Amino acid sequence: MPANPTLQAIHSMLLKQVSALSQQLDDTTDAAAAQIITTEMQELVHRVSITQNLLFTAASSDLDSKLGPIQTANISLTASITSIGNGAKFIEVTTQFLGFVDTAIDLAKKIA
Amino acid sequence: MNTRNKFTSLLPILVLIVSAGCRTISTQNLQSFSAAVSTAKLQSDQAFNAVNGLTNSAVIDYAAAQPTLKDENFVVVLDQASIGKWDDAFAQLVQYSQKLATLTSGSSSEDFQNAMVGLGTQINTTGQTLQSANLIGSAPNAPPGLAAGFTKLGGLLLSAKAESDAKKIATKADPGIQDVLNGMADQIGNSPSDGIRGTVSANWTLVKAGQKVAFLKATSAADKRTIAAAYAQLLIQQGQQDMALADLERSLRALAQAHHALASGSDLDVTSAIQTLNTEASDTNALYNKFNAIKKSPGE
Repeated sequence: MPANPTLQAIHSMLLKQVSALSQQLDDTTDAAAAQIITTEMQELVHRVSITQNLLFTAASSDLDSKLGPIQTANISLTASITSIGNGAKFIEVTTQFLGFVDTAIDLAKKIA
Repeated sequence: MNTRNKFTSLLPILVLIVSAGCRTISTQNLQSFSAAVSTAKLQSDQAFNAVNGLTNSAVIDYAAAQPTLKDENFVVVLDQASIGKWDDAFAQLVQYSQKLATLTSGSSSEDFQNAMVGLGTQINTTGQTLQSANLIGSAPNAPPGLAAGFTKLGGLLLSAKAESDAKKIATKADPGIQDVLNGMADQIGNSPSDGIRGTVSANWTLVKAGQKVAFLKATSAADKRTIAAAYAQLLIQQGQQDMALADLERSLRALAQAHHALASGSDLDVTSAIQTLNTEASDTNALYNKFNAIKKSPGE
């Protein structure tokens, strides 16, 4: 019962981003900024749960090809989280990252 | 030394030869392993039920934050399809272990012993028939001790063959069993930041984040204290839930070790690995009861 390595990589990236957001939240004293972070975290955690349920999906080369853009977006997101003061940019980058994740998830659902 | 005494004196040596000549798996170890698989299955059911039960609030929070209310927004941490895959894996392991145990359970040995007794009776009857037909002077009665000795040896030989066969099967199956059980353990995760443990941790992080936001919005010290107390409870529940999953992960690895020990013929290691599994399963059961108590206490 091997887990799909691509989905596993996406799952791992999502978990790291949730953890990074949580650390940012710990340092935030502004309630409005904290709410933004929590809302984005909610979106990430939703994908974590979806990905978890898809982890047993059979490996697929189509799916593997989706990993590259996600990794690139993940790097942008990491950079964005470290400079979270720019709320608009942070939401934009997170949305972009989640868009790539959703593409991979939709594909995984089709082949599940 | 007459025939009966000769055989009786040789019997312990024959038994030793049979026992030493075949590296086998004991029926008791196979039954213990089979029971351990069922224990791990129950442990996994309890751990997964607790995961879905205690992370439910994060799922509802997400659905409530969406513009529309729809099914796809209610994503449980572990869905029925995923749990079904686990159940299938356990069902196959249970079947496998039960078949191995049946192979050495002694039912076939009993049949063989009955056949041996039948043969002894036939010898006696034939002897008596020959005697009554005056073809021989006296009936060649098989000595009762000798017949019993043969019966015992027959049973031992058959049992040893079955146990030897079981060991061969277990040895052949072992790499696959290791892959399945260690693969399942990997899915649970080696730490709170990966696998299902990671998923559960992320859900708890989100639930705690809600409290962090509420804390920042709180205006009075009393409100902040109430939120801090609620947060402390979440921390305890998160820790307990991760502990239950870690117990399951260790149980699955212990089950893999127990099978490897079975295949290697190491009784001591089988016992030790199954003891580890039983301890971990017992811990999960205790935590599961605590989770149920939390669910029944909505005020907490």
